[in-house]
Amino acid sequence: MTASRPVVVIVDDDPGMVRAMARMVELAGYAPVVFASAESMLESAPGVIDCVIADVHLPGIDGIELAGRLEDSVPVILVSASEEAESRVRAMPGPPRVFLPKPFPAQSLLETLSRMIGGADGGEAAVRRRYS
Amino acid sequence: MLPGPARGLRLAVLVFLGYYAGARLGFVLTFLPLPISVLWPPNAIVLGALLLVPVRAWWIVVLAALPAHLLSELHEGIPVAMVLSWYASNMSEALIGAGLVCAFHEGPAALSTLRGMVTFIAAACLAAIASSFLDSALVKVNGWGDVPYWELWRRRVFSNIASSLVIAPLVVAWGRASGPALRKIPVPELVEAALLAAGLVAVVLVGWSVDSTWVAPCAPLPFLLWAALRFGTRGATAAFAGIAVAAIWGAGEGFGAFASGTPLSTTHSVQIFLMSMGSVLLCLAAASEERRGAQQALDVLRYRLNHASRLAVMGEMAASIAHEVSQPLAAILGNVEVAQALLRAGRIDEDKLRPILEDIREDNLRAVDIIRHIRNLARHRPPAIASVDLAEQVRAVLSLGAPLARHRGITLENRCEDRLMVRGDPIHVQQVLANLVLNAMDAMDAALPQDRRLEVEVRQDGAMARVSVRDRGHGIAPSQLEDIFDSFFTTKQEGTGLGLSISRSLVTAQGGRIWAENNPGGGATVTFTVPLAHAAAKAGA
Repeated sequence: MTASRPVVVIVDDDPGMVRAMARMVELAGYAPVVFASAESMLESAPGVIDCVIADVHLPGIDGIELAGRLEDSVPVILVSASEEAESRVRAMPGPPRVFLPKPFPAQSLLETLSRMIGGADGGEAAVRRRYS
Repeated sequence: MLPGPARGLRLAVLVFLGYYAGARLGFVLTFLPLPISVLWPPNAIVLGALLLVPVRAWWIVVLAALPAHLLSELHEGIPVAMVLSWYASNMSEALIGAGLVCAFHEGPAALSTLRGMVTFIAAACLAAIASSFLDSALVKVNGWGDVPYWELWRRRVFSNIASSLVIAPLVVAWGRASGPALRKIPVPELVEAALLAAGLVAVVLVGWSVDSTWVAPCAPLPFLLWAALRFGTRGATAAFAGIAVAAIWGAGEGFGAFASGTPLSTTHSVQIFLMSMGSVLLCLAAASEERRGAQQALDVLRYRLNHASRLAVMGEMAASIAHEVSQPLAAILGNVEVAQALLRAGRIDEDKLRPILEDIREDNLRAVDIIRHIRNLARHRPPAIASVDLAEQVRAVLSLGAPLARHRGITLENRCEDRLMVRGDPIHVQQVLANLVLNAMDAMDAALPQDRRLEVEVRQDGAMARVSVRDRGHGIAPSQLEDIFDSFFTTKQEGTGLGLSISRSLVTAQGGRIWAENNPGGGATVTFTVPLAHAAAKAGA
């Protein structure tokens, strides 16, 4: 059932990339919610978030700043097509964040998601996290 | 290595024909009963031919001249010993002249520089003087004629120097021009050459009918200067040869600038006119050609520098460009994998597949578009002025620079009037824009996050379009507002100081101008203008 699917928020200003990631996530059984900017996500985020996938280079508030504003318990996967973004992600304070360089195979993303929040069936390790 | 047999044979035939025709012309240009021609072209033709070919091929020229010499002189009933003596003195003159020129310069290129031309004139004079000692001595040994030795020497020196100055540069200038290059002469240049030729004919017919000792010789001067300054050595030598033939032929027929006096005084007048006018004209033509060559070399250098600068801009944006290409590729990969997974799961249907394929297509086209922009920027090609959509160029540059801007926390604002068509080279417009955008980003390195805004504004200003790149950085010291466009002026640690200087030359070449000013609220704005494609460019706007 849809209601039980883990919610994966995707934030990327590239519309083509957002749609592709949403399809990957949906295919794996998660419920994708997409935003084109960190500001719009912060403004109208869903009540429950299981994971956030954000592009590092976002206009305005970037992916790194967005991750910093989220509770530490919310898993964040940061993605970027630029190489230097990885070192910025590694240098972030707080809990370690996962970085995926674009372009990445769907399997990498889905394995990472599965590792972070458990399977899409909401099974063993899936813990619903609330963004406030 | 010797020239190939075919080329050697062609050279021999040309020298033979040239020498023979020159000798026939020399006989025609003789004021009887004087034994020496006003102008004796064969020696000068051989001199010109020697300057045109490598030293290792000189023997072909010298040998090919022999049958032509024999044919032309034996025909006149001159004893064989005298004919062979003249062949020896003629060849000695050509070899001395060419040898001296080659000792200081490299072959035909010598006549394209002022220094080379002065060397040629000096060599031609020395060769005529030296060979005339031999020539006069041989005439005396053979007992040919009764003109005293020194008188013979003097007459030959005058005749041969004049010949060398009129004929040899003509042979070199036209001989080194390749056929395809001559066929490629643009139509306006041909029209100008025709007007020049008509002017020279008019001067000969009208100017030389004036009964004045100084008006007539000076009358062709403006046209000869025109030929030298606009057409270099080719134009000057052709025009001068035409005037020389007209002067000698006219003098013989009792018409023109030098028709009065005895045959001897007339001969001297014509020769002195040819020597003095020839020296000045040849030097002027060579100097003009040298300047033109330097200008062309400078143009090539500037073109290469422009290209290098464009590559440097691309180098600075490399990470940004890679990001821009990776985005659509990542989306394509994701969509393909989703489609494959749907296929594997047997869950594929047309409604699901259609938007996936449409996205793949769009992202593919986006990647192709980015690659096209990069390829255009990197391409080596001559400037091409066309009607250009300014907003499109701005969008292209901002899209390539967007990842870099995001990385530096800079917000890009595009305030472009649409449908603003300008006349310019799209790649140069992008190059200037990219330079200004990168500079503006650099200027905001130390700016507060909220101030990191870069604005590109395009609007119409009369018959021009104004493109302004505004930053909120540290601004420009008032004393440096002009200096920043000078070559090698830079305030950056790793700057070359060429970006803005090249930008200015590109903008100026397109009929616009570029300037910088500080903003009242901080930061600087660099603005450039480009002419609108046509007055009604904004029709419908």
